[in-house]
Amino acid sequence: MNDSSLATGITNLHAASEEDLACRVQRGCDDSFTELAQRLQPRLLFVLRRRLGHYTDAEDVAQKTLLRVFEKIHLYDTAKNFSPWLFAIALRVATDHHRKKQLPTTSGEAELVVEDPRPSPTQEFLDQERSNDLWTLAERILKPDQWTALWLLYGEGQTVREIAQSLNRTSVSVRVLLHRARKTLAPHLAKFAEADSNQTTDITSMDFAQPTTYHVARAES
Amino acid sequence: MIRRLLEFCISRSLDDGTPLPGWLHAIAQRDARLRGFADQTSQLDAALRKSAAQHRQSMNADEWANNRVSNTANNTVADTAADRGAW
Repeated sequence: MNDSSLATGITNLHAASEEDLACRVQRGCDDSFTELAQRLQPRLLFVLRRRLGHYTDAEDVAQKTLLRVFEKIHLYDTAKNFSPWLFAIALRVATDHHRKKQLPTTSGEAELVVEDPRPSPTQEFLDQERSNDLWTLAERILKPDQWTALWLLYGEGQTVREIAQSLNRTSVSVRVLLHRARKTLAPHLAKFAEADSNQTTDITSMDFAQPTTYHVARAES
Repeated sequence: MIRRLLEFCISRSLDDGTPLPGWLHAIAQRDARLRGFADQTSQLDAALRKSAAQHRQSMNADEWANNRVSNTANNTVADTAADRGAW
């Protein structure tokens, strides 16, 4: 975006691209950040909820990500797409968040931390809505990085190189992730199509995946 | 081993959204298992693309939760900006 477009201003922020909005935020436009945040949050929540497993964690990380975006916006290269930069931050914040949750307590006493495996009412509602969805099936049978790479390719329209940037991996490693994800998912497609055509069948009740594991973390001094 | 490599090449074409190269297409036509893989992954590709597009459209349905995140972020950003005297 050049100076003249900033001077005249983009009257309709809704029409501006994310890259343009980020450029405007770099120059101190608060309305652009509001618009940018509104566009980004559903996309962040969609990915983060699946990475972190809990809706509340996803909300926390989405908030932290948006704040990090605001703080580091001067580092964004406006010549490049915004999405890989955003998801690189989001996934790093998610990793930090996950790591902090696993840290031992300061009390020095061993503590048994049992995550409540039951979904919250919100999560239950959203899961129910999406129970017959291909991406939910993918979430159940793929590893988190495989699922994320697949979503960034199809949902975010990123290139392999951009996904590599988002996931902090090499391009070859991303291609391997995508290939393995397809190989795992492809045999289930026919089964899924069958379930999808039969409205009464809920794929969450079908035996697609490995048994669910509940994480019991013991914090030690 | 060779088939695995060729499957990877097919997957690579899907990554880039490009058609299979002529030589690979010719081999896939002759090898039933490879052709099966190509057909299956191609169908999967189309299904994932379609489903992803539907998700992108329906993401605004979670507006109440999104607004909660956005408002918190915006408030904190406004505070930060005020502290810096930026706006």
